[in-house]
Amino acid sequence: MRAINILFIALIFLFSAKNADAYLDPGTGSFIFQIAVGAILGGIVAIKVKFKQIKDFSSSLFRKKNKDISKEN
Amino acid sequence: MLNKIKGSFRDPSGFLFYKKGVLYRNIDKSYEENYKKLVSSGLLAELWNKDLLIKHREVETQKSDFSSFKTIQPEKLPFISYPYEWCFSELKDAALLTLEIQKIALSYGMNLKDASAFNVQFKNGKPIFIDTLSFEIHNKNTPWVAYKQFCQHFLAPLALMKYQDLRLNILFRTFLDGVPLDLASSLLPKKSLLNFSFLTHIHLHAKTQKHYANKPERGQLRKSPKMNKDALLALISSLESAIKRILIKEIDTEWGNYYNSTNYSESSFLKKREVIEEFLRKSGKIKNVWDLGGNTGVFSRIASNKDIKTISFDIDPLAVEKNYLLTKKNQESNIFPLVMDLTNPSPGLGWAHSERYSLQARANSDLIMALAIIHHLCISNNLPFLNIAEYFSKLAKNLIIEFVPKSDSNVKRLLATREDIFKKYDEKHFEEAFLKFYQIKEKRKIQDSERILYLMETF
Repeated sequence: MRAINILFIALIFLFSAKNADAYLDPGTGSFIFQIAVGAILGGIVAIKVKFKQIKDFSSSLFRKKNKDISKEN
Repeated sequence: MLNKIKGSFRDPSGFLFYKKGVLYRNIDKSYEENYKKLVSSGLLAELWNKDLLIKHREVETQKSDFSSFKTIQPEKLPFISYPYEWCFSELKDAALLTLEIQKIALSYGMNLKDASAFNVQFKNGKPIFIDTLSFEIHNKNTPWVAYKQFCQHFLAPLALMKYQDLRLNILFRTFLDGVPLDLASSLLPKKSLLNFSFLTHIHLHAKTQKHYANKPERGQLRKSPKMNKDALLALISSLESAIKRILIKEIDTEWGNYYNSTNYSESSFLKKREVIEEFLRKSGKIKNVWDLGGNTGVFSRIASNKDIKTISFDIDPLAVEKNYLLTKKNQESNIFPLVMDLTNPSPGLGWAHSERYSLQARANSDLIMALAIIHHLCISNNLPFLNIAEYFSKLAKNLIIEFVPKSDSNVKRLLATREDIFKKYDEKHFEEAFLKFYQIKEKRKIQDSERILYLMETF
């Protein structure tokens, strides 16, 4: 949750960026916003995937260790 | 003679037209590459196999003044409905269909360039995408061009219906390109800020739009913004989970519990069903029925269960919601519930009133059922019998109508708080007015009740 909050603060700073080039077209804001949100959401997904990989890796290590112990017994 | 559909002018990729009463779609040369990819990639086949996209067949290319690559003949739908006539779950299902199609399209290297709710229709009780020309080749690292439109057409109205009022779908009647996000943001309550999806895709989105709209023009962006596929898929997933999580609490409205509070006894209720079944049998070959004031569809189902395509209209969005959920639960394909205020039915809308058709212009039924609504139209809305008879006669040839006399407790309730100015509200004047447009084929008094059912046919 804390990570999301930090990302949100970053997002709000992004809104107040003063030197962004833009069309007058109201769709421009949507376009830029989508890229920012996509990057954040994509980042969250990537973190979740990495976290899962680490979790799976450590649990497989743990399982291996247990297996070895049971073999020894 | 090629008769171009007036409302089909926005999309440069093609347009719809009628020839000898058959609907065709012209595909413009500019869309050739996209169409070829749609077919050759296997995307079209997958969408057809999953019944997500309207089927079509390629026909001989029609010669016209327009640059034409191909002509296709789309499958004909029995009725075209609009988002302002849908209940909450119909709009929600249309939103999920759009996202599902976008995800599948991306996996084939294509992309939806539109996310308009008007591109979705209902066929056999399920939503189906109807714009075959909405698919374009996805250029790597480009954002979803229809993101804003998706938020305006689906997320914003669904959020407003959830937090404020189920009737707010009617905003579509004014905002044909969906609810502007700044408006949605100002109408939503503060507590919607606590919802991550609404905070992001509506409130902050609206704020960014405003921020950039107020900027002086400085030409085009120096570099085209990039968005990788993972980010794009994460955005689509976020929208999908946002839509899935929008749920409404069941609340009782005026009509929600109608059948629990009518003055029908069980025997007269059954008798009414029997008479309607008999009248339907006596009406000849009926393919389409419109039940006006159908509530949760109890009587509409008499027709739909006989394999008749039935549209069950009601003014109450909760009754229509209940009806639609029942349709889904029972996997019914012949009944289609829609929200409609008969005293102010859907008008012709958009450019020159011709982009979206009025209810009357879409009239395709063989029979109208108008059960227990005459007193609401006459007494609550001061409509004379003659006006009602005239309008109904324009909608269909056959009519099953229930007359509810003043002695009925529901009519008494309507008159309880107002002066009775309806001196001519009686069986005699009712029949006199309807006989100007119809012949009465059958008339039955419903046992144990004051009400009368009529079967009529226009001249």
